[in-house]
Amino acid sequence: MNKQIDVIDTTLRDGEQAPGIAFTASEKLAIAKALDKAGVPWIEAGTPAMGAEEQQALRRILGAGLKARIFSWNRASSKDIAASVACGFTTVHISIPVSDLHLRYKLGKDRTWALKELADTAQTAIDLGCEVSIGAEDASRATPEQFLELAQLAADLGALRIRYADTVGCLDPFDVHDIFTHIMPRTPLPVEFHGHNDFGMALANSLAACSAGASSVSVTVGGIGERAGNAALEEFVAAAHSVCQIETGISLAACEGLGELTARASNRPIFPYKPILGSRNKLQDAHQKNSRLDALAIQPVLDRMMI
Amino acid sequence: MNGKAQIWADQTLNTGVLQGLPRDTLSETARLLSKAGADLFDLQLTAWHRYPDKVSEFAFAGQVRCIIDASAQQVESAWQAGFGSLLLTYTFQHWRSMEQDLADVLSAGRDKGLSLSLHVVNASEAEAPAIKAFFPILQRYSVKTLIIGDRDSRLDPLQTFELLDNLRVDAPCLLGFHAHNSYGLATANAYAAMRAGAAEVAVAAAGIGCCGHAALEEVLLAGRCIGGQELAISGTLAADLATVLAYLGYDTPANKAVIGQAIFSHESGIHVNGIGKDHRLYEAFAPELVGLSRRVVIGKHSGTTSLKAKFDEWGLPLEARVAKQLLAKIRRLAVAKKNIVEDMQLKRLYYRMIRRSHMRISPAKGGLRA
Repeated sequence: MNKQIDVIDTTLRDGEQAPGIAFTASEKLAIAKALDKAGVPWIEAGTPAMGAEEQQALRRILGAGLKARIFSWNRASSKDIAASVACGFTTVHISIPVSDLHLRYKLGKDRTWALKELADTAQTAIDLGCEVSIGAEDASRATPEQFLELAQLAADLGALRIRYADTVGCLDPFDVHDIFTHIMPRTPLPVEFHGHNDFGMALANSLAACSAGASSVSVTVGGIGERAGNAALEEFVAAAHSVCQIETGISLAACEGLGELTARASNRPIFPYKPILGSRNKLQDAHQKNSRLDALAIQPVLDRMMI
Repeated sequence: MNGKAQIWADQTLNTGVLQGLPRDTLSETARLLSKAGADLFDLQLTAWHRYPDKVSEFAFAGQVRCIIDASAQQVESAWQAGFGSLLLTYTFQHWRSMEQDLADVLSAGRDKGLSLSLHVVNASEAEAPAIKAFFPILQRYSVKTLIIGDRDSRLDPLQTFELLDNLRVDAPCLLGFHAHNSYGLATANAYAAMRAGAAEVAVAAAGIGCCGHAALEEVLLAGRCIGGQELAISGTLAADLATVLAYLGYDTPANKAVIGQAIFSHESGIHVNGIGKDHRLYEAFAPELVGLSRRVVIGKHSGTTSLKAKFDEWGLPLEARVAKQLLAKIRRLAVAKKNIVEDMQLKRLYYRMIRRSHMRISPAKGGLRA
């Protein structure tokens, strides 16, 4: 049987953070419903600490009766957790920088302070009845030991998993494979890979992490996100299935509708050569878009006339 | 990896030829692509026929390679059109029948003294030993480069590396790699081939072309910034490739890796705050490397730090109370217009707010709109 990977969609959080992208509450709800319908098991829906309007939008998603687990993004601050809990979240993601660079220049604090802050915040969330996942921001510019120290703490706190974030997309697939081969046997928790596309390798890096033991990946529809964006949901679903024999349980056919919905809500056209979604790079026909079909069935169009 | 070991075989110009771009635009496209790093332009013979001119009349003549089907007749046509270098494209059925299929065309090319490269478009379907069985024939006909094609985008980077690394050991000629991008892995595969020592990789601006290609700008920057290769990067790379795409009728996506206009725009509070302290926090490389610039933009995800940074830049005072009110309006406006709030719009909002607070007009009467 093929390996199964949990897809965590962050279109509504990291995706929307792309400059100029601003979803309305109704659009956020529509995207969340479409993600759920496509079979995405985890949805990172937003940041309640942003304020009342965002909280209102998040309440609507939480109240929509979706099968997917909906969770919020939080800094390591009890104020953020209070905002999440007030919205009705029972699963929260808490992010903390793990590289020296981020600790020193962004927070101006030392590692001991950061770990304590994280532990206190996570404990607050747990005491309020939440399940937590922990995010290691800028893990790719930290040492494996620095990541593992946070992973151990997260496990001790009873976290669901830990996110390894390649915050500026500075890894290549060989690096990712080596790093995950090294850290996976030493990590007491399931690990999620969160890639960015600054050099066009977010998807390849996500797959490399899975092949070396990561159990989940975070993606966005169409790869929208800060700077050059994130790994794209539809590309991950198609490539995992057809190239890497990894299953996601997500319908590729549904991803196409999601792509159009998100592009409209983002007010951004889809580049014609974008894999899967682009008009010049689409898969062959509706029948073949179902990712559950045989791998051969989602061969790309071999349209020799490119004009 | 040290020094530029490989040739960038451009596939972008061919799109221009297929579209029938005017002569001057075609030459300008080639010039910009060369400046971006392209060494060689693969052009399809059947499309080139729409140009009445001999290829030697173009400034880029020294860098072209003519894509032909494996037929002796096409060798003759390419030679008559003035091409000195040929790229035979071939889809294999059985590696054993390849010699039979290719003997005529290879000898025709050799007899005319043309430089011969062979692109097996579906080579990634074969195992390395099967491909190696064909090596003696490459030697017999003095084939310069064997290009491993991945027509159906079957490979991932680890498999690409393994295949190329394995083949390179016994190859009697140079090895090249031609990635396609059905799933979004072309850049990583081309990068992997480079790491495995491929002498040539197929690339295109923003990865355009039939079934997609590895994006020239991504492979270039990844090779330099991650792979540590000493690759020269043009300080006008982003603008030059955007111009090339415009000639071909495409807008460069704002968030296109390496060359998108918005990839160094920062909006969210956390990022703007970070960038203000040290830009390395949220940038993989400096924008100047490719001729782009860093920008703080104001939108739905802005925080007071972003506003403060903007107003400091303008030398305008911004009280905390005003900042908070302004931020609420900005968020509503950004959602309504589905975009960032431009500087002039922001100033307008600000001055209206200041004016209102000075004149003590209630919001109900003031009717504040952007």
